[in-house]
Amino acid sequence: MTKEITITVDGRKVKAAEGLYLLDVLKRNNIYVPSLCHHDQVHPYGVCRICIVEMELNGRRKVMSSCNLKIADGQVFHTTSEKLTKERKILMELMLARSSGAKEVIELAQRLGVEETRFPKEDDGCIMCGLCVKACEQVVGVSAIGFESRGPNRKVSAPFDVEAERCIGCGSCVFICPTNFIKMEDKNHVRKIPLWHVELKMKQCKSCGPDIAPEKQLEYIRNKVKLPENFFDTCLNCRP
Amino acid sequence: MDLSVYASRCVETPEKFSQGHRGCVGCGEVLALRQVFKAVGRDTIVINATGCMEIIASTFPTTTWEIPWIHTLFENTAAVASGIETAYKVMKRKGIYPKDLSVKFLALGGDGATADIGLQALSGAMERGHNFLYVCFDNEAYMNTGVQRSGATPYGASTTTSPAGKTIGQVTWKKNMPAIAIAHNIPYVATANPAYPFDLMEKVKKGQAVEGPAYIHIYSPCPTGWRCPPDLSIRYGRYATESCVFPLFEYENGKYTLNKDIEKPIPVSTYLKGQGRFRHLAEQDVAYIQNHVNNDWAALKKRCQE
Ligand SMILES: Cc1ncc(C[n+]2csc(CCOP(=O)(O)OP(=O)(O)O)c2C)c(N)n1
Ligand code: SF4
Ligand code: SF4
Ligand code: FES
Repeated sequence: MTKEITITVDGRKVKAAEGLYLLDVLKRNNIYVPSLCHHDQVHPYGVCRICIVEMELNGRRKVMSSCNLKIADGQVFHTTSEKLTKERKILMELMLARSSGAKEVIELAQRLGVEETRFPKEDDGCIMCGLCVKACEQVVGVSAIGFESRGPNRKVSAPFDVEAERCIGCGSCVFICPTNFIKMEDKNHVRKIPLWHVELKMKQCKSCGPDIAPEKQLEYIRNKVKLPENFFDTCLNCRP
Repeated sequence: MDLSVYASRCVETPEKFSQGHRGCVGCGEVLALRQVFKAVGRDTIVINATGCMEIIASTFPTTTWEIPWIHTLFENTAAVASGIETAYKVMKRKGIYPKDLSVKFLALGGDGATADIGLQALSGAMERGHNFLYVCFDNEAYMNTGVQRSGATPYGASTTTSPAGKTIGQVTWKKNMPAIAIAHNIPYVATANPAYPFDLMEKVKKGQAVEGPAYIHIYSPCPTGWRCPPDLSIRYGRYATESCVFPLFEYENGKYTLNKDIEKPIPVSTYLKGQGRFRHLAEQDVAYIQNHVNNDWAALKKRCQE
């Protein structure tokens, strides 16, 4: 069994298992700290920095991101302070500038008291949270997409910005993206994800007709779990 | 858009409705509830009418609800939700709650609690425009007390209070709850089905985000009350939508959208077959139902094209 430890958050004693990440513990205890690039299914990446908290260290307070901070016994944290509010607001303004049309971003900004941004705005931009890349790698296991360039030119993209060969068209990246930056469309028996330059043929149910999923995805699953050759010939309804 | 295999693993995993409850095997209502909870934040207050979800999850001294939760009577769920929402607003105005606090209100009820006994309170709350989401889990009868018919029981279904024999079972057509909600001119109304989890979660998010009342009617297969195999709840869910018995649509600020167009509906008989509650139906009864469903579907499609 993991050891139970006690930390102090905003003056309140909180018990938790050793080695957990602070943000997870806070969520579990209904202590609100905003987060954007955090997701339970991928390893913490710690890029958006909106989840910052202050940790007491040698009589001073140090600002740290909470999603990738493993807790230890006796640590003392503060989740609100003037400094944190100010920093979160600036971060939010920057993210709002990159993605001023995304519901999730607008909602969080409003919650943190940011109505407008001083920086030039883009509508439906990518905030570089990395969730799509991480999900494709850690949830799907195909690593079809990644990051490209550095600094202000850094972006998410398929390798060399041509067709993402390994993409199976599962849509995990589309689903996980907080800004709706990745678009996906099923039309005329083809699934398209333009950002990754992907167009995949859909497989139809042999017995009743409608699309099941991209052929490539079904092949990937079939090989992975060693299903019989004809397993995906029919849809869920038509399979016994 | 079918996101079934991998994207579903990106859905939040911690449950707000934890394990160890006393739901029946194969309960589609529990599944729907868990999906609803995956789409709401932890800063949500749940106002829950009596019914299966309350009874199976709250036997003293245990609880399954890992989220602020208040149990209400049958008739006053929406009224309690109105009160809590108003109190919250006042506390915020008076500065007792911090300005950046963002709490949502989620009222839950079965079809009996919604379409029959709590309808008056719900109508009042929708009319007054409280900022809350009401979710009705429609398992098409009062299941918790042993399958008594409700206004939402479908035509022809045999229940303990509408037994097939002298009559066909339920003699009236199912009450159209979404239409009643829409008639209140509220900003958001939708139907959902746990066999289509992404659609369901998306709708719950939308319903929570709008300002004002929102209503979501969720089809909730009940193997115990419908007398069908418990491993087929999801399949019946798909059959219901693919046969157009329970279409998935949305009504947003006056506009209807069909979320799942069915090009070639499967026959209603595929849906009815295998459910004990419809076992007694004769061919002409099924034809009558098919005809009624066809007409409703055509009318809905027309509204969605307007
Ligand atoms: C005023 C009142 N009448 C009757 C009951 C008994 N009762 C408790 S749960 C229930 C059935 C609930 O049915 P429904 O709302 O359809 O939800 P389900 O159990 O089917 O999920 C009944 C009749 C009650 N608690 N209060
Ligand atoms: S759709 Fe393609 S790029 Fe996106 S997660 Fe799936 S495999 Fe990766
Ligand atoms: S595309 Fe979306 S998920 Fe990917 S890094 Fe940008 S904002 Fe994040
Ligand atoms: S949520 Fe912690 S850095 Fe983004």
